Amino acid sequence: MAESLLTIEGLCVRYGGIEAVRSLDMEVATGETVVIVGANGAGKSSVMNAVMGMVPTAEGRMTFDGREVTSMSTADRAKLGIRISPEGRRVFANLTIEENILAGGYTMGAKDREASVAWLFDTFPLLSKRRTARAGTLSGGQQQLVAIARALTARPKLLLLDEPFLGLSPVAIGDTSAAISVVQAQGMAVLISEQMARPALKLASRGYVLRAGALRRSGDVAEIRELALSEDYL
Amino acid sequence: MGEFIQTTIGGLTLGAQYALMALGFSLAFGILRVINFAHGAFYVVGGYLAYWITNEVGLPYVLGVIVAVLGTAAIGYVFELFVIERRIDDHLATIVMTLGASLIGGAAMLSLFGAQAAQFEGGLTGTFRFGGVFVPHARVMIIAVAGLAIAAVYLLLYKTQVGNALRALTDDREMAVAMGMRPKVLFPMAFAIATGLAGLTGALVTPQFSLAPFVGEHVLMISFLAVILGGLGSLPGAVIASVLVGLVEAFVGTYVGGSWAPLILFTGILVLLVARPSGLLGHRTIIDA
Repeated sequence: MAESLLTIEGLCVRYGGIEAVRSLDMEVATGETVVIVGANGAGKSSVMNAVMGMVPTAEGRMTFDGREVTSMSTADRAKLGIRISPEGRRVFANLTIEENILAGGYTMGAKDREASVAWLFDTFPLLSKRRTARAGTLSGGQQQLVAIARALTARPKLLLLDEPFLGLSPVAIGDTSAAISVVQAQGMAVLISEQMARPALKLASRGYVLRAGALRRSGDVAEIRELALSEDYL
Repeated sequence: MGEFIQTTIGGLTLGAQYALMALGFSLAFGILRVINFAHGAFYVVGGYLAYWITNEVGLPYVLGVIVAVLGTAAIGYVFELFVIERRIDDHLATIVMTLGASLIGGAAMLSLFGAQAAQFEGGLTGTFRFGGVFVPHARVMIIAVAGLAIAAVYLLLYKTQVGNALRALTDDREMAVAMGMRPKVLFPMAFAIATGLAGLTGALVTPQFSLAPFVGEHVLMISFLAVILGGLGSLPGAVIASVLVGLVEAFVGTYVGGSWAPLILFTGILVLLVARPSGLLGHRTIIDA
């Protein structure tokens, strides 16, 4: 395995007295795609949000790109090269597609940002055609592409995709999968959380299965698929 | 005809006043989610700063306006950074803080300049005359400067990366932060722009209308109504509604009688809001905001 990019040791996430994630160990290598599979409420989003710093780490340690990030702010983690396409997409509804993508490059210099936006519009012609449309007016599938593109502007080292296929039509699932393939071709590491694991498993090389906030199993995709099938996740 | 044109100019002047106030108020509310009850106090402080520079220091009025804008923006910046920012997510706390700041601002002006209305001299004087129509220079200046300030805010918000970030923060603060935007840097700046607009309004219009320690309350109330009428969170809505309110106030004042203006205005707004609770251009009502 290549060098580790993200290392999580003994992660616990709590909301009030409720333990959403319990002593989880996890690793993502540079350029690797990893999937987290689990039912609703298994703690997948909590892991994603903890990596982004959007929920606090109650216990455990997290390192990213050789640096301890456990208590680092969300904006600082973004600056280090972590980006999220969150659950529910959460595009900036009143901004146009182009403005959403520009917003994703907030930490970059103007020149790099413009170049990145041009590259993204080349890569996603679906978005290019509607670049001046307000993001709030788009379909779920288009919004998912905007959320992914917005997360890519700054060319992150690690892309977090929280439930990218949820609620999408089969065509939109195909578009989203294609977008993720583009990310992989760029050599970025991807961590995908998914309840509906089928499309995600096709993209990933390794996976983790969560149940009730705890690690049930980890391994290569074949093993994960087998377990997920037998336990009815697919 | 002359009366009609003069009333229109008067209405546009009032509208420009309300629009500048409503714009600043909406900016602070939209971006920080803070209802700034001190917005009227910044108007008053702006007025007194211009008055002080022009009448007591004896410098040109233009300098007074510039000092008023920079001064109120600086006070707003510091107030946001050191006071509001500490409790930014606690709405009750920010209401108390801004209400407190409003009282302090009024009381400070009372102590420094006295309770008597200030006799502002040295503002723009002179009148344009076309046939029987008289239009004071100051009114034209107020409308023009307000238009320029509104255009500048528009360009900032829609044509710059900082403006894009401010609008992203308005839409989804948590996601904006996840893109690397820092509220601790951007919020004081946004608040300073908002209070600077209030200061500008005060410096522009108090030489024409009146300047006393608590005149800001009334202007803020009308502007606040215009914000709700325009649709909470909609900047174009706030500007359009402000101009409408100013015109209604002026026309009712001229053709029906000055004392009727508030009654007709408030009743009209009430009826409009019953028919259209989210305002002219708004998507949400004050309750879900």
